[in-house]
Amino acid sequence: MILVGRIDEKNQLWVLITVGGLHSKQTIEALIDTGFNGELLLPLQIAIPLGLQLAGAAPYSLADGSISQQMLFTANIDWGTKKRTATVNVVNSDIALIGGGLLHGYILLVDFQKKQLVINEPGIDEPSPSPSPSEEPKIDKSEKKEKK
Amino acid sequence: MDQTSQQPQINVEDFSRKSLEFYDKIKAKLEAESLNKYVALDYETSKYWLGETASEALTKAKEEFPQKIFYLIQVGSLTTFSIQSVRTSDLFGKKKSYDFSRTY
Repeated sequence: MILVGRIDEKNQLWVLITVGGLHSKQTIEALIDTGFNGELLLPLQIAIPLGLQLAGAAPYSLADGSISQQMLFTANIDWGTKKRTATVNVVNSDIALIGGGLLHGYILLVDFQKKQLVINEPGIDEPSPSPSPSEEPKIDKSEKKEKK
Repeated sequence: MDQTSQQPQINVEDFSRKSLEFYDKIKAKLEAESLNKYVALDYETSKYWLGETASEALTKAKEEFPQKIFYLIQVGSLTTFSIQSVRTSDLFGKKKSYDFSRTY
């Protein structure tokens, strides 16, 4: 397990992540957004004090259907027990987002009934999100044949 | 020394146009061999770096040229990043969008 998050009363998924730039580092709570395929999106007011490094630019598609060329930054992040570099998109928003790009290669386990959120690493954590063979519903094939 | 003064300058529109011109030259090869991977492009040296993730491609590029900036594309896609909770008016920097009618 690399980290544990929380599920709020609106069934939104949140995890803590520490982000560092040239000037400072800060631990923030970010929303997991599967409608975002990047790695990390930060509000301007969080990104500026950190002093993120400009990495370049990339084409973005947005909710209003537009396509825009925008600057791209990098940050050092503490991703659970790991330290790594992440690409960062910066926008005028209030909420930090974690996209599918940062979850690439990991296992996101969400239990809305128990309000539990865990991110696991394959090869180190080995829980199976699918039911074990003994729990799978059994189909009586002989019965189906008879109906034909 | 203020490290931000060492940050490269960028004219996003001009940088993107030149990068896309370079991408057009290598697009067929990349789409045949590395579809859906991420590629960091440097049009000045005509070099590129591939990765399974955006940060992997950029990290490889930065290892060779730490001071340079790169254009990031997901091979075979019109856009690299899709953000379905952000509108043009939320963007940092230039707020106008560009009418990119390119098809890859």
